[in-house]
Amino acid sequence: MPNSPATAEGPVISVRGVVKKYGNMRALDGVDADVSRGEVVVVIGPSGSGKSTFIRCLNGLERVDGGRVTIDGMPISTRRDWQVARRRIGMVFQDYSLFPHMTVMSNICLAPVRARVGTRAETEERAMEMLERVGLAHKANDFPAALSGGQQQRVAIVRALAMKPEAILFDEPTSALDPETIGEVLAVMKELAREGMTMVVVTHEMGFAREVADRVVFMDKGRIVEIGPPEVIFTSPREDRTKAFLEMIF
Amino acid sequence: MQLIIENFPLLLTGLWHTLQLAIVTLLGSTVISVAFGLMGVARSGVLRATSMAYVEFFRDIPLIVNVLFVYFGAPLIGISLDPFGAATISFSLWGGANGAEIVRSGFNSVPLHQERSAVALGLKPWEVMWYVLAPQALLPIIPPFTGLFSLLIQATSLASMVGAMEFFRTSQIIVERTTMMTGYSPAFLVYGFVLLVYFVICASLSALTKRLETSLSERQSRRGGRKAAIPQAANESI
Repeated sequence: MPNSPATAEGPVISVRGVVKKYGNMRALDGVDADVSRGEVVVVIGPSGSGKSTFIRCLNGLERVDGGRVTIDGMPISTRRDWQVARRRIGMVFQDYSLFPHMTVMSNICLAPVRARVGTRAETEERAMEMLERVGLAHKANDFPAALSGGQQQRVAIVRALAMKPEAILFDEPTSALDPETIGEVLAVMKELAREGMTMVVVTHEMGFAREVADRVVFMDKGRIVEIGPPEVIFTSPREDRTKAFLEMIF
Repeated sequence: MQLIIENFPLLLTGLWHTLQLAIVTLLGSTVISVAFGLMGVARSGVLRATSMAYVEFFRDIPLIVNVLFVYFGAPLIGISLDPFGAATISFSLWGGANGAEIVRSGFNSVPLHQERSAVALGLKPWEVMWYVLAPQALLPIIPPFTGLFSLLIQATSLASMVGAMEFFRTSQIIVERTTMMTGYSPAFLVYGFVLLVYFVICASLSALTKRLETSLSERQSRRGGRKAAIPQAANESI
């Protein structure tokens, strides 16, 4: 995948001491984490643990109340910093959020053409190739309403990829899908991971985490409780809270 | 009928002035509506509060009071306005306040995640607005805006209160003059004609926007259309 060689070493995304408050509640309470190039980090945890807030802080959709977020070694703070940084950090949401007034093709090409990632012709050609690979080339000129949830989510992934991002964040990408379409979205994500895309994935799909993750992050009450390779987290977690959570869901 | 034909030139002048009033008023209202409507959905609290204060103020005073106030009040601050100017300004201020509210709620009807996912693509704020939010806000804005337009066209008759020679005023003159000259009042006939003309103008306006609306929403339904013969899994999507 087109990972830019801008900075060869060092984490793509790095957060230090990040705090996010909603009123008196600390949704994130001093979180430190690094995401290395080509790494797949899966974030798990009970609902309300702060994992969605955490992933939204990684592209500035949530402004942090404390701590620091660094992208490619550059600290990001102002609104303008974030707007530019978001071109390199794609995001896929739970509710796909395709633009209903645009065709699939226009959805994909809008941002890369505006940001001059490529010319319209180049972008459309690339979009078509990517649609082909996720099996949706025949839907290029349809509007999102004509697509199933799983199809829309695959388009949303292609839309994020069209920016040639260095990393993609997935915020519960399969939670809103019908069970029978979850597989097709996970398959696309697995392929991306195989190709070396840097990914941060918040999910409840433990099978995916086990199979694809390089590291699993377990969060609870706004903190990272434990980070480790999936085989360790899922079979012999150090922390009691991790154990309790895993026992609850398996 | 004879009477209408005899006085046709006068009525025509009145109608022409009414159309001028209407066009300027509609333009002014639209500009104010968009400006204050966008302020109403701005990030800055100051802008939002300003917009809200403006909207509340002008929606809460009767239009006729507004017209009289502008006409008689303007000279107090050293501006002299002719009836036409006073009327268009006050109509625009009033229409703008009502229109701003329509524009604001149009934008508010676009789901929040649309803005969020546009922002997440690294689009600039104006690009988010222009390419993603505005096109989606347009459809819910059109019907109430048509209603406002037709209300404003009817409201132009209030300009007669400050002496503007518009359509309604000229018809009033005809009624008065004829009553004085012949001793009988042609009010029913003349006002009936006036009513008909306003009706034709406003009805054709709504017919026109109805067509615009249908063609817009047809495009939207074509979005779902064609392939959507299979049961729609689409609606639950958002």
